[in-house]
Amino acid sequence: MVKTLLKKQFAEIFRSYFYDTKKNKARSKAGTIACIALFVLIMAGFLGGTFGAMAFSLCSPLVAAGAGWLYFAIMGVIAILLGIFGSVFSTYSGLYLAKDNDLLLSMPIPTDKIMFARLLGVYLMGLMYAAVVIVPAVVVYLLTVPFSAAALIGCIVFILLLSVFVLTLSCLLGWVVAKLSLKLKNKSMVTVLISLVFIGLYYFGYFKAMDLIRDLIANVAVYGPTIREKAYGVYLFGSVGLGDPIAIAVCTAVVAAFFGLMWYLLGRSFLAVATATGASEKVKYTARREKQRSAATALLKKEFGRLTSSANYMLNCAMSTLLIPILAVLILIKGPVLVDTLNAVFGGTGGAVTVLFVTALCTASAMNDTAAAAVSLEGSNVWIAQSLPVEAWQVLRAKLRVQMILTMPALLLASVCAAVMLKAPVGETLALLALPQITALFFALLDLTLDLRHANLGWTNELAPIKQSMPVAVAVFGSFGYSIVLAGLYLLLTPPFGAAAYLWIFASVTAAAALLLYLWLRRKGGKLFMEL
Amino acid sequence: MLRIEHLTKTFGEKVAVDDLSLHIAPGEIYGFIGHNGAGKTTTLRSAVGIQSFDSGEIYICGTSIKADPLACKRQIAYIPDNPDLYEFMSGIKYLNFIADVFGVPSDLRAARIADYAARFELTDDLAQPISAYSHGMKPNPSSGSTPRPPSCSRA
Repeated sequence: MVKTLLKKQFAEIFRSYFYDTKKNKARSKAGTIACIALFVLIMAGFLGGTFGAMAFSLCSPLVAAGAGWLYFAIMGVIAILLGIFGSVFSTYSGLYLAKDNDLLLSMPIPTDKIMFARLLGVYLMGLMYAAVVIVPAVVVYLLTVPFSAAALIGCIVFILLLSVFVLTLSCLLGWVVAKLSLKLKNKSMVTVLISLVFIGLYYFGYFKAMDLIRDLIANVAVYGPTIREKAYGVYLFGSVGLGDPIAIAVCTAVVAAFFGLMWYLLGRSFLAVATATGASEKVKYTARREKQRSAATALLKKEFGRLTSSANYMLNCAMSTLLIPILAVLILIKGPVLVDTLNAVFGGTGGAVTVLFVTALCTASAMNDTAAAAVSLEGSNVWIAQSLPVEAWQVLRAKLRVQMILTMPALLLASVCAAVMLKAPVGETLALLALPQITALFFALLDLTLDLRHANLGWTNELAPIKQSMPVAVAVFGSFGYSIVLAGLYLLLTPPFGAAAYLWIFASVTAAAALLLYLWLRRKGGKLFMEL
Repeated sequence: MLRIEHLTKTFGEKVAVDDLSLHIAPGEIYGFIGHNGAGKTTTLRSAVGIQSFDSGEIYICGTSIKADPLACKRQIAYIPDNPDLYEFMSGIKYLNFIADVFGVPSDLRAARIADYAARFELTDDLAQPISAYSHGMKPNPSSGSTPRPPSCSRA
């Protein structure tokens, strides 16, 4: 029974390597090999290499200072954080809110066997992510110190204990995430705010941690004994890697106790959480007279309703609406310092600063890409828009307008701030105001065109069109390409006709491209939408 | 009310509907029965204007769906077999959205929503998100959003 469940679990985890969900068919052998090779390259090559380099820089000084335990403690904490980060969401979706929970629970399978198979999947995910840090750390340590059986055993036990600890914490945090997500069902704005707070804390913590590690290495003689005295648990945790038998015994007992407690609690609550529907409090209906709106307004309202109903959609495709006003404020506060720096670097190229500011604004504008997923997000509901008595172009225009409304006013504010701060000549100032607007319009049209031509209506998880689709990738990387061309051409060619003329030429070319896209959408786009 | 003349629709080499003709008069209840792949859904999707067809004609109240699809769509309502609705909307928001698109005036829509919601026993759930509706409830907002009882009236 467990074997069958495990087989299903592994098939699910590694399905994307063998099956292309976008094309709804099995991958070719070459495609599967390419996917696996890419994954190994990212995990072992990029992430493993990064943490391996970090281990090299930490290991020798700490071991030489007699603080090998601190080396293992630091690398262990990083491995735990990465392991949890990598597996907590798979715990949430794979253990608690798996789509087939109802199906499996309805079969004559004991609940603890379902739980075990699911836990093993979570364990492997956590181990995979933690191993990216801890395996290079262990290898570097074993290469640094003289070989001993105690060190080897210590390292192996350290990896095992760490992976079980990651599993325990992932289960706990996955349970919290599952509970929160059920509570926050239909409260996407709150989810966005919580996500933003977490992202902010993550970056704050990341920069602080880097400073802390540097400080620790520089003052290991001072901090080492203090940590050992005041946080003995950390010392014991790190000492496991050195092969200290007492540390191994104590830490094994603690990790086993935590795991046992988690297993007990999970066994008691698994059924309740796995079958929870997140039914929210019933909203009382009060009949009231609704103002009649035009079809265009109704369609626009519907598009905004779709956007604000999904925290994923807002976080991935509309964050520039929030970031551009922040950029505007930063331009006013930090702009003069930045201008001085840019002048020092590009002083010889007249108008370069204006061109670079325009480039920054254009890049920021293109980071809003709601239109790149708007058609695909219709999904199985596409029949509604197709069967309504409105022109298909009206439906598409509503999608276009959302991106324009989200981007262009904020962008104008940032452009005005930049114009006030830069005090450039009139021609450059006007281009500073106009080109980002034209670029925003161009990218809205381009994003919509791409999504219409490559619509994916068969998704089962909305993240597929929002994050993993070709139109979204082109929207993001295309904006980078556009910016590189805009700034690069000017800095390379230093055109004799000046920055203002250059920017207006670029604006004209962009406007012409936007016009072509608009005409295509008007003439062919509607027909294509009706045929989806 | 609905007249289909020599409808043919192919998907690649597969002929989904082959020279189908039928006439449904006002007030008639017409059921489609056929084995899997017989072309029932294809015919319906063609008749409501969400799928083009290769040859033939479809008339809704005398208007060709090819020549004036919007006029035809104003006369009919379509409820697919899968109750896929905008789950991010509440029932009442969905009904108001449809009413806006069909240009139903405020007073008239309020009366119709009250009437149909009561008939489908949906009144208490109108403020709930559609995602919270049970499987059986989902087609109801769809049915209630019919702009007018199906009949041949010129918009």
